Amino acid sequence: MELKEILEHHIIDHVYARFAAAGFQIPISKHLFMILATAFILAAIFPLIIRSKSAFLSPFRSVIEIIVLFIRDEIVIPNLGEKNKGYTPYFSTLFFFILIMNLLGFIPFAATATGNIAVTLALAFTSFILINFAGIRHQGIRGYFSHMVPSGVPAWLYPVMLPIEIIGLFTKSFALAIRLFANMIAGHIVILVFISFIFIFGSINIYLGLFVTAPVSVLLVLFISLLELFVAFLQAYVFAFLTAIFTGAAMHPH
Amino acid sequence: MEALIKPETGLIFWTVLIFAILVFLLSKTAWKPLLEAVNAREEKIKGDIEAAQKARDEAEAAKKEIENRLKGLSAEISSKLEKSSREAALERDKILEKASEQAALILDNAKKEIEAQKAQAEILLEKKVMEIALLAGEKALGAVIDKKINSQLAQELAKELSSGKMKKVGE
Repeated sequence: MELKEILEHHIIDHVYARFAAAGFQIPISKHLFMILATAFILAAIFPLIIRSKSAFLSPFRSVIEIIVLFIRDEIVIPNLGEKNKGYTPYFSTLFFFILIMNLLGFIPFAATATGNIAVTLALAFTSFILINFAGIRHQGIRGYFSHMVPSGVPAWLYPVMLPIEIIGLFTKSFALAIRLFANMIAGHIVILVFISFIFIFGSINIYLGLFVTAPVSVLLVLFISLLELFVAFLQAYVFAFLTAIFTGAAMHPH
Repeated sequence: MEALIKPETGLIFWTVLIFAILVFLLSKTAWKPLLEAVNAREEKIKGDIEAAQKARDEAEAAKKEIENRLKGLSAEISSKLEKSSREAALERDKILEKASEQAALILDNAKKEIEAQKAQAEILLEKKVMEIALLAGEKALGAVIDKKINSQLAQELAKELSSGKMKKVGE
């Protein structure tokens, strides 16, 4: 079996069925099931934990509460301002949605939906909508578009700055998608490559693969897995934080 | 491998749909009760801190008042003490003065009385001495000397006595 096939099998989505609707091909795929699992956890289990009064669930409740308060006090309020903390539910959902999709990739036979460029593009699209929606809502349509170019720029620079700012609007969101996608997929590729090393060296000499490469690879895979665990949290935070920065910048022109 | 970077349009649709539903659903079912509970707790803590601060301020004010009152009381006590001791001294002086006055009066009276008694005693003694002198003269002279000379002599003796010789004897 080629390494390419193994990678494709483990990283790329498996589409089970497609059905056509309004000219689109709507797929039913493994990553869709992962998203649905995430949605189930968020929509069914989270409210249960939050509303429950049982002592058994209170540590989970505390963890969720700490994270939501962190999002409110460290992400939303510094970037959007004290009076816009009503955006906290959005950013909490965004953070937990990405985090749980990232974490589900650790379960055997499951997959990381955020390692799919379509999923991250969709998330970036929602951020793009939020950034523009918040900008228009807080400045008005005219105010928002007239503040596209930062004030204080000389008039002759406007023909250059305006296209750059408009392109920047799209690239900011696109960079969000690429960042999350690349971060999530990279760890998986590295893990698969380390595991493949065992078989590559094993095909040269079975004892070399079994007694030299295997322990080293397993240790490295363990290390990369722990790194991935950290990255899962980090990237969820980075995505929410950057979205908040861009939203704040769109709300408050400088 | 190009499937890795070729986005599946349908999955974009699914993700956006599911995420939008989640945002609306969780805002109502999860984050709202959570943030409400947190806010209530924060309000309660803020209220508790304020109440504690207020109670402390009140206690401090009461303490200050009590201290002030205590200070006033001690000042009052010391002033009253001083006043009463001053009054007592005054009273004592007055009583002493009166007593000494009375003692002087009594002494004076006693002296006067002694003087009077003495004077009386002197007179009495004078009379007695005169009588004794007369008797002695009568006895000594007998009937030799007539009564005229006798009484003359007696009178002279009496004069002498009264003029001071008796006094010398008496003293």
